[in-house]
Amino acid sequence: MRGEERVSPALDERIHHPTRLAVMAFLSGCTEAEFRAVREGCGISDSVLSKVVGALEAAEYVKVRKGYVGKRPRTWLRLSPEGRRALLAHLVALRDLAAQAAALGAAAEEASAAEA
Amino acid sequence: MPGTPALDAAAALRAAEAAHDAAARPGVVPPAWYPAVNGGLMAAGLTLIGLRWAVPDSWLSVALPLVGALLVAAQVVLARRFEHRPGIIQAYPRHTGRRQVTLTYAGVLVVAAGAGGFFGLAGLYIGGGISGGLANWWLLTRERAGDARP
Repeated sequence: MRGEERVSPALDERIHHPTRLAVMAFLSGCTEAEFRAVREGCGISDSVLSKVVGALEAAEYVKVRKGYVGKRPRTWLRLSPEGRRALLAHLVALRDLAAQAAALGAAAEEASAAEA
Repeated sequence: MPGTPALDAAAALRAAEAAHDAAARPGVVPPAWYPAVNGGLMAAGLTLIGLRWAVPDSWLSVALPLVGALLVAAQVVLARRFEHRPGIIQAYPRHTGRRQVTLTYAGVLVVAAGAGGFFGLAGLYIGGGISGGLANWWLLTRERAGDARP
């Protein structure tokens, strides 16, 4: 999934980028996660996660909650209901794409085998 | 070339699944005895607290709620040990549907309210404790079985 690649209409371009997809998928595995847990779970840096969260928050796919544990500030992230729906639809589109392409490949192989 | 989008899509799906699992997997795999002990501690603890209203005023009516509270505290400590994961909040179990969980604990509330209606505070605690303990046992057993599946 390269940045310059055109996104299929069925795919959601706001979560098509691998890092955004990873963050969305991570958050789909829990109700809420602390910023640091997401960063470590997805294996990305603070600055990259901040940018991704900013973009996903602007798309209203992620909700950000700021709070304190003792005196230390903490940022908690969770998927919004729209975010969950969008992720589900995106994953379905990816599965369809993989299945369609695999079926096309198999048909092409059969045709070339029949010609031979 | 049909293989390329298929490979890209399959790779994206695998990465998404791995990220999801990283958040969803438990911090510690609970031992086999944990569901039964969790449910048992809750049932025994609340039952002992509830018996406080079923026995005449004596040293027993003081000791029963104290021991009951200790058992409930032990349940909370165990739950924190085996279910809490720093930085991750799981409001619902991973392998049981939200509807099933809601219905199960709604059933617990109905049993507790029914027992409370018939037997007062003793019934409320004992009914709620036993049904809540059974509900915990059942749900935690399902969660453990779900985590063990590849």
